Amino acid sequence: MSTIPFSHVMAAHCESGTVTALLNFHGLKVSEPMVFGISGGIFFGYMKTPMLTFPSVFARIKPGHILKNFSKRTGIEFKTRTYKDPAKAEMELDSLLEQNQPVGIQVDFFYMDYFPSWYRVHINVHFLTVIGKKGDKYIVSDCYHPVITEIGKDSLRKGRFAGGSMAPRGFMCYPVNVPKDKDFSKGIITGIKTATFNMLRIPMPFLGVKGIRRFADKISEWPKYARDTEQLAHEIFKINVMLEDQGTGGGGFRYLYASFLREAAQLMNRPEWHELSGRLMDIGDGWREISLFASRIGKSRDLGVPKLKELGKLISARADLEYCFFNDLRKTIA
Amino acid sequence: MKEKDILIDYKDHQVVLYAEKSDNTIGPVQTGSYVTSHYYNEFLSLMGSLERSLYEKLQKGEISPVFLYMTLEELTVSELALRVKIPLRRVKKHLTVKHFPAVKVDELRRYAEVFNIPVANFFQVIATRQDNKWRMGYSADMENKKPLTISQEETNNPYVVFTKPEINQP
Repeated sequence: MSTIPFSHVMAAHCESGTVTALLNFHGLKVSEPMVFGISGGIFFGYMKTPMLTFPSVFARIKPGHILKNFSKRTGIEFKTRTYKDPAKAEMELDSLLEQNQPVGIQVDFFYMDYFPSWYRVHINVHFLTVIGKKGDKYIVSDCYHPVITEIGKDSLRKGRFAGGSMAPRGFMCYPVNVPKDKDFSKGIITGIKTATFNMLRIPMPFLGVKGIRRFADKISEWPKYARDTEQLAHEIFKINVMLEDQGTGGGGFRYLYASFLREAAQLMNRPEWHELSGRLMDIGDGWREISLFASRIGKSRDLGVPKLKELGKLISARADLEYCFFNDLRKTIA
Repeated sequence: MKEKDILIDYKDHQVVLYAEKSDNTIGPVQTGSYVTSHYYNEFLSLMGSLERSLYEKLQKGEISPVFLYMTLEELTVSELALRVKIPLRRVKKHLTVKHFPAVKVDELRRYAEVFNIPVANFFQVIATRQDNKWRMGYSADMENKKPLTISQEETNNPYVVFTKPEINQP
């Protein structure tokens, strides 16, 4: 089997990047920020669950929902499937590749052995595109990898059928009946509605702007969860990873969303969104400062309660700004 | 953030960030990772010291091998239990030195699959790096000066691994 001619580009985020790449392959010109924005991807949450070794933050909606929301709001149909039987999943994947159909799949990032081992963690919500097969290896286009690469059949199977929370269960997807041109206006409005609702009105104290406030309040309690200073330093470093490096486009997805607003402003002639995108870029700069501050105190092991409270204050200031920002954004679509 | 402010020359870990470009648009910029380029050695040292202290405890008989790999892979007991499909109560027992001998071989195979290691590694500590390029935690050790690399290859039998010492090329 040969490789499908596929234009590989790195993307900020794996799910929005994979959806964008699949649509671009089928001839629909759409950008990653547009996919992210229409799906209402921007979010914030602060979680401490038995499934996590440490309190954790996330800045995007639930994995899988970028694809689901985008498809629903634009009417572009994606064929999706999950499997119980790995052999059947593999057979159907091979058959689609035979038909020159690139396929998006969900995997546990840990088994993607084309990345160095220090970089790989168990997270079941990584998305990539399979574009071919050569002997016992699959050819993949992964948005986080600079070039098209390959992965052994066994590693891919392990990744697709890893257990645990949000297990992929062999999930795969590909678009069907992709139009060459599409009016995204309705999707943009719905996407903005979702984003403002998620950030302002979900009645849970750990989600949206309330989640940012909780993060600000609770960070000074982190030492009690750590077994020693080394682990605390490691977890503080991870704030930077979660907000900057782990597929966010920087500033905890805020830059990506600002880019969406700017594109939408031009598309729908809404200058107020252009102004709001500038404000969101500034908010993103603040998140970047938080990431850098966290890295610095992590490195110097200056992790006493006063320093963590200082970090909490920086985070709290973001909550105030985001509250005003999303309220103003909501008014533009009221 | 302006494009010029985020550009970092670090080829080993590339990321895409969105930034304001000179023509006032916001677009993707492929650049090196700030955190990896600035704190990679710090990260290696943190993980290296954790790895060393866990292996010491393992050799003293204070922790079980399942506990060691679970901690290294940053998994919680609940997440591990879900992944290996073994009841939580039983997994908790397997984390202790006292009850580790009660682990069934098939259960060990499931643990090994989650940790992505050969089953044999639950019963041995390999002092040399397994892979010069990727294996972390030993990079600052004098042991790396040894001209030996231990490579391990899977066989068709999931319970057997082929361990192969090799002389490093200069």
